[in-house]
Amino acid sequence: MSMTPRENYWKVVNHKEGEWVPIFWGGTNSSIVPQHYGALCEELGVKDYKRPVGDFGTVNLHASLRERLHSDVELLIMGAPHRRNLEVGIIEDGMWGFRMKEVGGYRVFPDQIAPLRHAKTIKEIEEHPVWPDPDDSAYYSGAKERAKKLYDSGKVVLGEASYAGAPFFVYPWLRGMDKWMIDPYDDPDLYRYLAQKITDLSIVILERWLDEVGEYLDVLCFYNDIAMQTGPMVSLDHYREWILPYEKQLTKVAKKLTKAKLSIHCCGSCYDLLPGFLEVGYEILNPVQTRAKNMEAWRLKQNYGDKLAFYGGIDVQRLLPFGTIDEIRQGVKDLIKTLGTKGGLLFATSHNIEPDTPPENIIAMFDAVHEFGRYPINL
Amino acid sequence: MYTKIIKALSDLDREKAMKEVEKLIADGVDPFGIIENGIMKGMDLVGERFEEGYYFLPDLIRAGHVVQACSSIVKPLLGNNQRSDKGTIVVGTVSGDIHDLGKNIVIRTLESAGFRVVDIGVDVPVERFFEAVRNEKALLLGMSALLTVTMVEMEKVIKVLRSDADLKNVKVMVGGAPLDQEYADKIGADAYGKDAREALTKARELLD
Repeated sequence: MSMTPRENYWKVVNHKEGEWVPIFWGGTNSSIVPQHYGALCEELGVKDYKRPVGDFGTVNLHASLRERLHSDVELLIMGAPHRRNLEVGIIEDGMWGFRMKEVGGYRVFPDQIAPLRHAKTIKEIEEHPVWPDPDDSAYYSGAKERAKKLYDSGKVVLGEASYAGAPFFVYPWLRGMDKWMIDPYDDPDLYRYLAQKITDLSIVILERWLDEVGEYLDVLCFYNDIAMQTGPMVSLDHYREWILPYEKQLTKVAKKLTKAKLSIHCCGSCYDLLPGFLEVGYEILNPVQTRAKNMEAWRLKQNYGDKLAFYGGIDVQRLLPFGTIDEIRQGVKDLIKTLGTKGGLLFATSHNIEPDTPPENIIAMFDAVHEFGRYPINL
Repeated sequence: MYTKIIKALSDLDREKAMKEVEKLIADGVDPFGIIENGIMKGMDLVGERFEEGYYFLPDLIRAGHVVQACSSIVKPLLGNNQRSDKGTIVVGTVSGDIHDLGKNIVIRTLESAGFRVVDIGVDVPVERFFEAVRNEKALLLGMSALLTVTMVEMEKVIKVLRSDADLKNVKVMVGGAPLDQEYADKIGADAYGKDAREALTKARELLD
């Protein structure tokens, strides 16, 4: 291999064939769930792993594990203020003050304890005690040095601005999912005020973080998660009216401060929303849940293959946990052939690897990408 | 007679729908007729539009609010004639699970159809399901779960009910994204409702 992972990535993300299909294992949502991380480490003989950290996927994957599974990426995640325990089992986020619980090993954000659930006026929103303070050094401390170090490794630097890049995670977590959906109908002024407030605060923090690290990033991840297995939660019109204007403010700022490609994380069947995502300026789609409705690899490649790169794709709902090794290898081949031809595939799982997945399946999957994902693709 | 209320409701126009209900009442139309031939028919249309991909989740929630507003006008007129003979339904989300979006839509739909529904909330332990069914003299228990790790709670509740001499014949309906008919059969539920409309149809079948 003569290219560095970064050089190879830039070819592929620009829809050209590089030397190999980049393996993107290590982002917050294409990793492995914390409760299963230990089993994978044990299987691979990695003994000195630390307690897994992450709201969704493990963000502190052991370097030797990433090396063994051929990952091309290094994760640069924004810092955050400390969280605190509100009462037994309930954690309050230090940045936005939303509340989390552990359920069955997963972190959930119950509507019933959302802090702004009962707010009826803008004044009550303003009285929320935890709004992010852009002057808090927790967001930026040591970021530049770390970013430079990761950049110098030659790997692809995956920038995640966490909850400064996800206004429509934050809105439902502050208000409750149902309120987020009904606010535009019932109280559009309150909706716009809260959405803009979250966006404004996110922008200031994102700007300052990107001032430090923007030049080192290859990918910058945003998140919205507004689709289900069967279709989007909202119509494209609703997306354009109620979500897009805010997301666009963030991507506009990002584009000024980094050359990184902008990725949007939206689980589920978001196919019908893709025109909107392009209007926002997203260039990479993650996690490409190919088992969801209308999300087949061929459909995405045929209709959006020249406009979007695909970061994800291998089904974690059926194929990876329940498939045989042969089926998994075939699934990898199919994905590479369909999404990876002429570039455009940043290989990853269609979400974090779940606890019911045999570690040998995970290893077989990454080894298969390493084996078959060579340009020119001849499968 | 019901065309306007059906249209207003299915167009999610709360003010107009409420006005139409008031007009029908003023015209002396039977309140049960307003519910069954007006409000429920409108809700059926909303369900169809959702299935066709024309309406989305926010529209369903909005429809629930419109139905609630309309029902609140009609309900006082039902007086003691409220069809409690249709039976009481206890509904809750199982232990460890805090999702209630779908559950609440189902509750609104069942209430609009005249059932007495007791909502026992989310994260409900087995014993509370049992107590609520006993105390409310429910004929049907509805359980909801959104996670594969929590849906297993349903089987525990069903076992407890079935092992009780007085409650073993209480019907059980289950629903939620990770479930299907096969799972409902496996755990011994009497019915599976894939959405609010189906939940209502099945509830009617089980209790009529």
